Amino acid sequence: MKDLIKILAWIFFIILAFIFQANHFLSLGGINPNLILLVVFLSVILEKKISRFLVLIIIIILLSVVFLPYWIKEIFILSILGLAIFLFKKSLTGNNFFDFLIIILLGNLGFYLIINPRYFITNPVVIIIELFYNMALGFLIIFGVKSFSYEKKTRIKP
Amino acid sequence: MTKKYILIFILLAVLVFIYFYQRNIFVGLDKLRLSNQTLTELRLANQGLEQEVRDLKNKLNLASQPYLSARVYSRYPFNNNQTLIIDVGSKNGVKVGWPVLAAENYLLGKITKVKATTSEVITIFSPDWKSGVKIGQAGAEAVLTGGRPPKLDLIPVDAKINLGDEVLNVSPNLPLNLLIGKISEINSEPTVSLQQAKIRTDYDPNQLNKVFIITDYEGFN
Repeated sequence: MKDLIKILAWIFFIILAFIFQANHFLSLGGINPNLILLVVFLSVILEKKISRFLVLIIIIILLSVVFLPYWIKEIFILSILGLAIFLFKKSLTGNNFFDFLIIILLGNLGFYLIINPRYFITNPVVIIIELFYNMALGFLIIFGVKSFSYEKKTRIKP
Repeated sequence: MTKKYILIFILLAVLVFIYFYQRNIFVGLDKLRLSNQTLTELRLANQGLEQEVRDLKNKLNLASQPYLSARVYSRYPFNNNQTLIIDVGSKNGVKVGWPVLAAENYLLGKITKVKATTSEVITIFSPDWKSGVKIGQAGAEAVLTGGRPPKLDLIPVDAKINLGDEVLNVSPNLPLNLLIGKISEINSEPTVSLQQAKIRTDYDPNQLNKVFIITDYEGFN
């Protein structure tokens, strides 16, 4: 039951990210943050069980078939990147905060490297701005999540 | 110590936010300062513009080329491309290669993929876009490369081009002389035998909600 609730919560955030990103929500000067990447990588950091993470990845791919059928390749690559990072996350620092920022950096660069390597040469500035923007949003998200979990842990029951 | 860095980071993020949204912030402040009289003037001006839009739409209706109007369903979600998904597809008879307009006579792109109820449109803002164009009345030829903004390459160095010159399509797989935009910047270096230029369009591709598809065009693909 607890697993199901967690997966449903992730699905909610993923759908929200899909909708926002396909409508260029939070676009700054024409540069869109990669919200789908942020949600996928946040689940990489916060999820402990690989089974739950795999279910989530399958759901993301199914959702993209329904909502973003033209961009299935991109979503598939993001999912594979997420899975690869999940498998190697033990080699990271162990600090959720820094790990999240590190994987946003690696994931963002890896994503464009696989999707369109030519993009690195033609639009390096856009990549750097997007990277900064994603990391700033990632920073706020992980900060919010940490504050929320800290508050939850320290809350005194009446 | 960490808190200090966090505060600095948040401050930087706020500064970046203000930098990008400064226009919107100032527009918002200006709006507050507007008097009732100015508001009335704006309303009248708006009515005039609305009438103009209606006239343009009617013009499109009266045009000899049949067209299909479509709503923008969603946009390419990442930064490395600029494609649109529109809400018409094979059920509406849409075919790959059909030209898509942003407004009357304004070329936006063409259909690249068609599914039952939706289609994908590659736009002139996509880095994969390449087509032949001519510039201004002199008709200097160039290659249009997609991007934000779209660019013109391979303009002969002796071609006389000016800021504001209209850029028209001459690519055979799209209707001849459709307007693409106007020249906003010219880069000509004396050492290079070719010139480059940037194009500005009268519309913002991120704000487009409706597009028009020319339905009876068969280009040389």
